[in-house]
Amino acid sequence: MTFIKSWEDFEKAAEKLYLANPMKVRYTMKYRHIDGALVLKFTDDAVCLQYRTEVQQDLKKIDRFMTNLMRHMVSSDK
Amino acid sequence: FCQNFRLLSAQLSDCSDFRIIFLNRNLDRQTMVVLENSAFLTALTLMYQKARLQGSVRVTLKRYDGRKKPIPRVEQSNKEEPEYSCIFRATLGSKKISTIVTADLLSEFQTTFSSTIRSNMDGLKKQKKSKGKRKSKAMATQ
Repeated sequence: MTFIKSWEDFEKAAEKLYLANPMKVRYTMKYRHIDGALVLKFTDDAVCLQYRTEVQQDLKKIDRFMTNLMRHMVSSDK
Repeated sequence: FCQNFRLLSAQLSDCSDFRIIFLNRNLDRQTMVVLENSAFLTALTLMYQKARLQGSVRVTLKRYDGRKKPIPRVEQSNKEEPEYSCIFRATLGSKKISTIVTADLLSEFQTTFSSTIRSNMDGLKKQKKSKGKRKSKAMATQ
Protein backbone atom coordinates (compact mmCIF):
# COMPACT_ATOMS: atom_id res chain seq x y z
CA MET A 1 0.00 0.00 0.00
CA THR A 2 1.00 3.62 -0.06
CA PHE A 3 3.37 3.79 2.91
CA ILE A 4 4.97 7.17 3.34
CA LYS A 5 8.51 7.18 4.67
CA SER A 6 8.74 10.49 6.48
CA TRP A 7 6.38 11.91 9.04
CA GLU A 8 6.46 15.44 7.59
CA ASP A 9 5.34 14.17 4.19
CA PHE A 10 2.54 12.20 5.74
CA GLU A 11 1.36 15.16 7.76
CA LYS A 12 1.39 17.54 4.80
CA ALA A 13 -0.39 15.12 2.50
CA ALA A 14 -2.96 14.36 5.19
CA GLU A 15 -3.72 18.01 5.79
CA LYS A 16 -4.12 18.58 2.07
CA LEU A 17 -6.49 15.64 1.80
CA TYR A 18 -8.55 16.78 4.74
CA LEU A 19 -8.97 20.34 3.49
CA ALA A 20 -10.15 19.04 0.14
CA ASN A 21 -13.00 17.03 1.65
CA PRO A 22 -13.38 17.30 5.43
CA MET A 23 -16.55 15.25 5.69
CA LYS A 24 -15.29 12.28 3.77
CA VAL A 25 -11.86 11.63 5.26
CA ARG A 26 -11.22 9.29 8.15
CA TYR A 27 -8.14 8.67 10.22
CA THR A 28 -7.27 5.26 11.65
CA MET A 29 -4.58 4.06 14.04
CA LYS A 30 -3.84 0.37 14.39
CA TYR A 31 -1.69 -0.64 17.30
CA ARG A 32 -0.19 -4.08 17.79
CA HIS A 33 1.57 -4.49 21.08
CA ILE A 34 3.09 -7.89 20.21
CA ASP A 35 4.78 -6.47 17.12
CA GLY A 36 5.44 -3.14 18.78
CA ALA A 37 4.10 -1.37 15.69
CA LEU A 38 1.69 1.45 15.00
CA VAL A 39 0.17 1.99 11.56
CA LEU A 40 -1.65 5.20 10.71
CA LYS A 41 -4.01 5.48 7.78
CA PHE A 42 -5.59 8.60 6.39
CA THR A 43 -8.04 8.09 3.55
CA ASP A 44 -10.91 9.62 1.65
CA ASP A 45 -11.74 6.30 0.02
CA ALA A 46 -9.94 7.34 -3.15
CA VAL A 47 -6.50 8.27 -1.91
CA CYS A 48 -4.91 6.35 0.95
CA LEU A 49 -1.93 7.55 2.95
CA GLN A 50 -0.21 5.27 5.41
CA TYR A 51 2.58 5.67 7.90
CA ARG A 52 4.16 2.93 9.95
CA THR A 53 6.23 3.45 13.06
CA GLU A 54 7.94 1.40 15.74
CA VAL A 55 9.50 4.20 17.75
CA GLN A 56 8.32 5.94 20.86
CA GLN A 57 9.38 9.37 19.58
CA ASP A 58 6.70 9.45 16.92
CA LEU A 59 3.92 9.23 19.50
CA LYS A 60 4.34 12.85 20.46
CA LYS A 61 4.09 13.95 16.84
CA ILE A 62 1.09 11.71 16.26
CA ASP A 63 -0.60 13.07 19.35
CA ARG A 64 -0.08 16.64 18.19
CA PHE A 65 -1.38 15.74 14.74
CA MET A 66 -4.49 14.13 16.18
CA THR A 67 -5.22 17.11 18.39
CA ASN A 68 -4.92 19.40 15.42
CA LEU A 69 -7.20 17.16 13.39
CA MET A 70 -9.83 16.98 16.13
CA ARG A 71 -9.89 20.75 16.49
CA HIS A 72 -10.33 21.19 12.74
CA MET A 73 -13.14 18.69 12.66
CA VAL A 74 -15.12 20.24 15.45
CA SER A 75 -14.78 23.82 14.32
CA SER A 76 -17.13 25.06 11.65
CA ASP A 77 -14.51 26.40 9.30
CA LYS A 78 -14.36 24.96 5.81
CA PHE B 1 -20.03 -19.80 25.67
CA CYS B 2 -21.62 -23.20 26.41
CA GLN B 3 -21.22 -22.62 30.13
CA ASN B 4 -23.04 -19.32 29.93
CA PHE B 5 -25.74 -21.02 27.94
CA ARG B 6 -26.33 -23.58 30.67
CA LEU B 7 -26.38 -20.93 33.37
CA LEU B 8 -28.92 -18.94 31.44
CA SER B 9 -31.15 -21.95 30.89
CA ALA B 10 -31.02 -22.69 34.62
CA GLN B 11 -32.13 -19.15 35.44
CA LEU B 12 -34.99 -18.90 33.01
CA SER B 13 -38.31 -20.61 33.14
CA ASP B 14 -40.05 -19.05 30.16
CA CYS B 15 -39.10 -20.49 26.77
CA SER B 16 -39.49 -17.29 24.69
CA ASP B 17 -37.20 -15.21 26.95
CA PHE B 18 -34.58 -17.89 26.63
CA ARG B 19 -34.45 -17.54 22.88
CA ILE B 20 -34.26 -13.74 22.98
CA ILE B 21 -31.36 -13.74 25.41
CA PHE B 22 -29.56 -16.35 23.36
CA LEU B 23 -29.80 -14.11 20.30
CA ASN B 24 -28.66 -11.04 22.22
CA ARG B 25 -25.58 -12.76 23.55
CA ASN B 26 -24.66 -13.70 20.02
CA LEU B 27 -25.00 -10.12 18.83
CA ASP B 28 -23.12 -8.70 21.83
CA ARG B 29 -19.81 -9.09 20.08
CA GLN B 30 -20.86 -7.90 16.67
CA THR B 31 -22.87 -4.77 17.36
CA MET B 32 -21.41 -1.36 17.87
CA VAL B 33 -21.67 -0.14 21.44
CA VAL B 34 -22.12 3.61 21.72
CA LEU B 35 -20.77 5.01 24.97
CA GLU B 36 -20.35 8.27 26.83
CA ASN B 37 -16.96 9.94 26.45
CA SER B 38 -15.55 8.81 29.78
CA ALA B 39 -16.95 5.28 29.43
CA PHE B 40 -15.40 5.08 25.98
CA LEU B 41 -11.98 6.01 27.35
CA THR B 42 -12.11 3.40 30.10
CA ALA B 43 -13.29 0.76 27.65
CA LEU B 44 -10.48 1.77 25.32
CA THR B 45 -7.92 1.33 28.10
CA LEU B 46 -9.33 -2.14 28.77
CA MET B 47 -9.00 -2.96 25.09
CA TYR B 48 -5.36 -1.97 25.03
CA GLN B 49 -4.66 -4.05 28.09
CA LYS B 50 -6.47 -7.02 26.64
CA ALA B 51 -4.55 -6.76 23.39
CA ARG B 52 -1.13 -6.92 25.00
CA LEU B 53 -0.68 -10.58 24.17
CA GLN B 54 -2.77 -10.96 21.06
CA GLY B 55 -4.61 -8.88 18.54
CA SER B 56 -4.62 -5.26 17.48
CA VAL B 57 -6.57 -2.22 18.60
CA ARG B 58 -7.81 0.12 15.90
CA VAL B 59 -8.92 3.64 16.73
CA THR B 60 -10.74 5.61 14.03
CA LEU B 61 -11.59 9.29 13.96
CA LYS B 62 -14.01 11.02 11.64
CA ARG B 63 -15.97 14.23 11.41
CA TYR B 64 -19.70 14.01 12.04
CA ASP B 65 -22.32 16.57 11.12
CA GLY B 66 -24.98 15.24 13.45
CA ARG B 67 -27.26 13.78 10.84
CA LYS B 68 -29.70 11.11 11.90
CA LYS B 69 -31.66 10.71 8.69
CA PRO B 70 -30.34 9.78 5.29
CA ILE B 71 -29.68 12.65 2.91
CA PRO B 72 -32.51 12.90 0.37
CA ARG B 73 -31.53 13.00 -3.30
CA VAL B 74 -33.63 16.07 -3.97
CA GLU B 75 -31.83 18.90 -2.19
CA GLN B 76 -34.06 20.67 0.25
CA SER B 77 -33.93 24.42 0.60
CA ASN B 78 -33.82 24.45 4.40
CA LYS B 79 -30.14 23.69 4.87
CA GLU B 80 -29.14 24.41 8.44
CA GLU B 81 -25.63 25.08 9.59
CA PRO B 82 -24.61 21.69 10.98
CA GLU B 83 -22.99 21.33 14.39
CA TYR B 84 -19.85 19.38 13.77
CA SER B 85 -18.53 16.81 16.19
CA CYS B 86 -16.07 13.93 16.13
CA ILE B 87 -16.87 10.26 16.07
CA PHE B 88 -14.30 8.06 17.71
CA ARG B 89 -14.48 4.34 17.14
CA ALA B 90 -12.33 1.61 18.60
CA THR B 91 -12.28 -2.04 17.75
CA LEU B 92 -10.61 -5.16 19.08
CA GLY B 93 -11.43 -8.30 17.15
CA SER B 94 -15.19 -8.19 16.82
CA LYS B 95 -15.77 -5.99 19.85
CA LYS B 96 -16.61 -2.44 18.82
CA ILE B 97 -17.12 0.74 20.81
CA SER B 98 -17.73 4.29 19.76
CA THR B 99 -18.41 7.75 21.10
CA ILE B 100 -19.37 11.16 19.79
CA VAL B 101 -17.42 14.17 21.02
CA THR B 102 -19.00 17.58 20.55
CA ALA B 103 -17.13 20.88 20.43
CA ASP B 104 -17.69 21.84 24.06
CA LEU B 105 -16.45 18.50 25.40
CA LEU B 106 -13.52 18.26 23.03
CA SER B 107 -10.65 19.77 25.02
CA GLU B 108 -11.52 17.71 28.08
CA PHE B 109 -11.80 14.53 26.05
CA GLN B 110 -8.67 15.29 24.10
CA THR B 111 -6.39 15.61 27.15
CA THR B 112 -7.64 12.34 28.63
CA PHE B 113 -7.50 10.66 25.26
CA SER B 114 -3.92 11.65 24.54
CA SER B 115 -2.77 10.51 27.99
CA THR B 116 -4.62 7.20 27.48
CA ILE B 117 -2.98 6.73 24.11
CA ARG B 118 0.50 7.55 25.34
CA SER B 119 0.34 5.35 28.39
CA ASN B 120 -1.10 2.37 26.56
CA MET B 121 0.93 2.37 23.37
CA ASP B 122 4.19 1.88 25.19
CA GLY B 123 5.45 -1.18 23.32
CA LEU B 124 7.27 1.00 20.82
CA LYS B 125 11.06 1.14 20.79
CA LYS B 126 12.86 4.00 22.46
CA GLN B 127 15.60 5.59 20.39
CA LYS B 128 18.79 7.02 21.82
CA LYS B 129 20.25 8.21 18.54
CA SER B 130 21.55 11.61 19.66
CA LYS B 131 23.54 10.17 22.53
CA GLY B 132 24.91 7.44 20.26
CA LYS B 133 25.98 9.98 17.63
CA ARG B 134 27.82 12.11 20.16
CA LYS B 135 29.56 9.06 21.51
CA SER B 136 30.53 7.82 18.06
CA LYS B 137 31.78 11.32 17.09
CA ALA B 138 33.85 11.46 20.25
CA MET B 139 35.25 8.03 19.47
CA ALA B 140 36.04 9.06 15.89
CA THR B 141 37.92 12.20 16.90
CA GLN B 142 39.97 10.22 19.42
